[in-house]
Amino acid sequence: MLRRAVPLTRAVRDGMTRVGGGFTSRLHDERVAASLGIWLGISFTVAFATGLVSHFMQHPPSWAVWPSRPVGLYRLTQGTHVICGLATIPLLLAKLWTVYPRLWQWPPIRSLAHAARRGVVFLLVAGSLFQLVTGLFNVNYWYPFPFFFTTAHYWTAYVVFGALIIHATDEWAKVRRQAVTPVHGPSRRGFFATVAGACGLVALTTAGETFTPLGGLAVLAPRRPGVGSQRLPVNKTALSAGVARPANWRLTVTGAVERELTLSLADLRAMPRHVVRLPIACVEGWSADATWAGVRLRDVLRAAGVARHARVRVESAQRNGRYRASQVDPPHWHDELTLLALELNGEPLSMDHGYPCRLIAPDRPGVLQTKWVTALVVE
Amino acid sequence: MWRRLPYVAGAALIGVGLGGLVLHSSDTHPVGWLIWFAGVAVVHDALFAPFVLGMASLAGRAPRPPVVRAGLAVAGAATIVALPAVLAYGRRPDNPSVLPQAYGLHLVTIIGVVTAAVVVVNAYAPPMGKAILTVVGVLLSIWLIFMVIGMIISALKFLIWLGFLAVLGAVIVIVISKMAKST
Repeated sequence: MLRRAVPLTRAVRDGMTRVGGGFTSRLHDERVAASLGIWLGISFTVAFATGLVSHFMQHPPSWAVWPSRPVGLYRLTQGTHVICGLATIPLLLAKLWTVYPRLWQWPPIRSLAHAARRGVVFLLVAGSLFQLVTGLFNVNYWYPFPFFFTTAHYWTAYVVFGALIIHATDEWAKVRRQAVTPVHGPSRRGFFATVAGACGLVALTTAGETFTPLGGLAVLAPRRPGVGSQRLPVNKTALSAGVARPANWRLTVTGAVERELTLSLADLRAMPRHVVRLPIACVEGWSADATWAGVRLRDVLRAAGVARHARVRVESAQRNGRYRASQVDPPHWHDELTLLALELNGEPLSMDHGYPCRLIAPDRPGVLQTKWVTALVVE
Repeated sequence: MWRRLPYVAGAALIGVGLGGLVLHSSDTHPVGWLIWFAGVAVVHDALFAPFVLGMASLAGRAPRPPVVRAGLAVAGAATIVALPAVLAYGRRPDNPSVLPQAYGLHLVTIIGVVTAAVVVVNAYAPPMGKAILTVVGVLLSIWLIFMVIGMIISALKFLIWLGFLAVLGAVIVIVISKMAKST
């Protein structure tokens, strides 16, 4: 026989005797928990989907090819991922506050099924907090934890989303029951308005780091689109990458090519110059438009003679680091917007933006817009 | 069969996640991960939630507890999200484009605006629906005022400088003329 879940009111009463006082608010009820749950479900689904997009753009499986258009697709998905994630912080805290009395339900475990259910809820609660806390730290470039953020955040997402599916299935009947009855009562409406206000305030004060029309309001954003070397933010400086200004720079094109090339800066400047307007869209959520000038990657590759379906590895003068080289798939290197850029916003690239030559391509994470390019290796 | 499908899918995803965390242990440091994973839940349940309940019960002594609690919640949310930027451990001497703003000042300003909104609502004591509209209205109008002032300032910067110089000139002339009279 299936045991029925303890009504929240009883949980509240139990909670009161257990913790001694408190939990008298009507807002610790099923209806509030269900409504907040629906919004959290939507938010975490969006975060999971956009997070997977970002992961597979950076680590493309051999069978998948990502498009190079629309130009701002990655900017949109990653901006949504980060800003929605930040706005979810008050939402999650409100939900946990609402169901807090259930933490102290007595007896803590009533059956094996009940224990399993509470185990899943623990994975969901701890995992949700973990994702939001580590994400918040990461966008502020603060790494007090021993693990590598990207890998831990990625795998933990599966744990959280799996637990979310089970939890949503368990609570579906309650959610459906609550969805048909409208929410009323002044205290409930005020509570929802407060939560919406808190989430909205967080979104409004951060979204401007990627959504330009709100730029003036981005007072809590870790980045400002126009602030940085040549009016564009920098993620990795030349100093931190250990790259010095090259005295005698050369670009080599090697690998599966008809003729290997060694090009000087003067050679590149002698090729047809193109100007494009493309954003740098960072995995940390900020993005900013800039005007780039240089030669098309496809012009350089065609001069060397490459197959249409070749993949190209773009290598940097940076000696260490996970992102010292990046792979460019056919849709991106065939794209007329993909440049080996020599200029940014009307000036030669500064050292921090990859002097003398960097990759810039549409619909691509910022960490893959390789700087200080020295070699193209065709695979 | 179909009813069990979500449970199977959920369990599979949890398995994939835990498996990935173990397989990539050089990146994920499973022990450190576990400490942080359980740690954030313990910190929330044992410290943060009781702290919030305590603050809410303190707010019960205020003239209109729901309004004060709403203000505390909104200001608290802004504080949590802003805290890593205010502490700014992520700042680097070689990269001024990371965390370029005065986040402490901005946070204090936001808390001030929220406090002002709460005070206004408390002073006029309208019903709840009106109170919420008032808060939203106050926030919007403050934003609008700042926008308009900013636009006027940027448009009239030159004229304002000119006016300032004119006033300065007038003051100097008056002072000199007074000095001339007194001699």
